[in-house]
Amino acid sequence: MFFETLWELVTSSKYWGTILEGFYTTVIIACGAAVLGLALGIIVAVVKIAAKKNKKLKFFEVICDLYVSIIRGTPVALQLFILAFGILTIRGFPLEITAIIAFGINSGAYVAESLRGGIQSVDAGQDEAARSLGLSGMQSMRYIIVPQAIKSVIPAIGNELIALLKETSIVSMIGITDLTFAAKIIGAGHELANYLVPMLFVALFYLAVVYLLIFFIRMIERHFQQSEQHADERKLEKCRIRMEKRLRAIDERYMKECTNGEN
Amino acid sequence: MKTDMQEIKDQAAAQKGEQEDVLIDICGLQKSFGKNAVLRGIDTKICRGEKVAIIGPSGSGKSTFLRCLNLLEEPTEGNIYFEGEDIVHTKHINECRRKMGMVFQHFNLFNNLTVIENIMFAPVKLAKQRLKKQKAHYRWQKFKRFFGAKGEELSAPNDSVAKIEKAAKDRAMQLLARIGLADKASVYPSTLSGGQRQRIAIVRALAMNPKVMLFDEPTSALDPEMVGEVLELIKELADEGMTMVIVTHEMGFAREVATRVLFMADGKIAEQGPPAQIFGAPQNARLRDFLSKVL
Ligand SMILES: Nc1ncnc2c1ncn2[C@@H]1O[C@H](COP(=O)(O)OP(=O)(O)OP(=O)(O)O)[C@@H](O)[C@H]1O
Ligand SMILES: [Mg+2]
Repeated sequence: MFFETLWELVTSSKYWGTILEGFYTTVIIACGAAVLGLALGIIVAVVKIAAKKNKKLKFFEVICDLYVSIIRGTPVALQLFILAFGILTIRGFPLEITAIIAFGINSGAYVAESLRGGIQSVDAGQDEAARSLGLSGMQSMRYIIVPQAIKSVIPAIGNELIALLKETSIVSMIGITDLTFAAKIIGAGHELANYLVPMLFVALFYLAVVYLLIFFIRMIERHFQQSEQHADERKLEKCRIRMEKRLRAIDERYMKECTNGEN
Repeated sequence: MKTDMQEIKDQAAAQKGEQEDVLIDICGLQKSFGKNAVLRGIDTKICRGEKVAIIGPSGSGKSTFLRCLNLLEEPTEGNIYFEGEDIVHTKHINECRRKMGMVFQHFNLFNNLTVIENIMFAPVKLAKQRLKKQKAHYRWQKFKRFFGAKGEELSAPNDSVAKIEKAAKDRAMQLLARIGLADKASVYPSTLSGGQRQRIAIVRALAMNPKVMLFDEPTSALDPEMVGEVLELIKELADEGMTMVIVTHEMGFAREVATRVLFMADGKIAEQGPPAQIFGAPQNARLRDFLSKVL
């Protein structure tokens, strides 16, 4: 029974069409929201960090704090509803864009917190040392703090992106046909008349994308860890070669002096 | 006893008159964190070539005082003049900081840079910045010339990025060779011992050719067997005539190296003078109490 229904699903181009369309919508919303979220998150984190040193930015800091706490303190479904039914109520406004904005604003708050956490995890002494050498706050941030923060920030941002992808499954609540809702459509009585099969089937899609994301995050993480070790080895090798050259030069000079002495 | 004291005081006075070449002038320095008044009015002058040791009980504001000197902490009240320039209100604080080297208790080497990069980074960055400015100035002058403006003799900046890097690298290697760590140039700080890290931190500060070195308990985070190597290096610098301010709990070292000892208590300088006087004939009751505990 189960396999028969599955067979029916995978051999029907109509169902495939519905699923792929839903998948496409999910990916578009998740990607758009990720870009918007990262941008917002970076801006908020920068403002919050800058405000710590510059009292004039206090106003912006308060706004950012408000934004982060409101977003993190309320359900994302509610945020989506408020935006779709309360604010962006213009007729004909594409719902996908509404969803992108809602999820972008949502994940921006989480990204900002991850970034801030990462920056704060770097020992304050690093910044103090940089400043004491006469480097500007910007230089210290860019060359000393951020490179050290990145290692802890990347996994956190990665987790946020994964959560974002899965959370987009609630967009059907404002009438968008995403991957999850596609499964519901296919499972309806006048279609497959079975919910379990299509839902398990689209679960595989989510899993595949999540694993792909995890794979990329691992790769980036490893890149940042290895670059240090590799650079280390490369430099040692260079140093060794240079030393050998120098030794050879000394040898040659010595030989020359010896032959000169003989003459 | 009394004549002894008198003699010491005379000596101090003579020394003062002899080298009234003030490098840092601290006037009425106060600092509070919220309601916690940590520094309550400090007045003192630090002269060129002087080696000032700061001692005092924990929490008396020694670190805060030192950090105020290069504006890592912003004073709440009072002025600090470095070579006559008011650094509390200056817009060029970064330029001033370059002339003051600072060494921290926990080394604070940059973890993301190799040893040699740690030493080269700031000098190279700043030299490049200067070069950029020179080039911009040169281009602007040439531009004005083009439209007939007359001005001083024009000369293109004769530095290049490669030259700057080469010079900084040579200097860094020189400094590393001096402390016997040339072979560690391309490793990361995390692989080094505390003593090695602190010595590198010291030469990192030296690479900027500072006019004064500020040490905040440079040996308190070290294992006992590594204290010696770091103190040795600091002593060498002192012998070379570097002006320095050292917060330390190493009384023996303070006695040997310092030309003046400041005893801080409750955010004030409770007593100061040459080491012989501070350790030999302390006047202040708190100082006597403190010395009886640490000596
Ligand atoms: N950033 C800060 N914020 C709030 N309070 C601070 C800060 N830095 C120092 N203090 C307070 O200032 C007082 C003096 O601190 P400071 O570090 O200058 O003492 P210290 O003499 O260096 O002591 P120690 O010998 O333990 O290093 C302490 O009571 C400390 O709690
Ligand atoms: Mg201290």
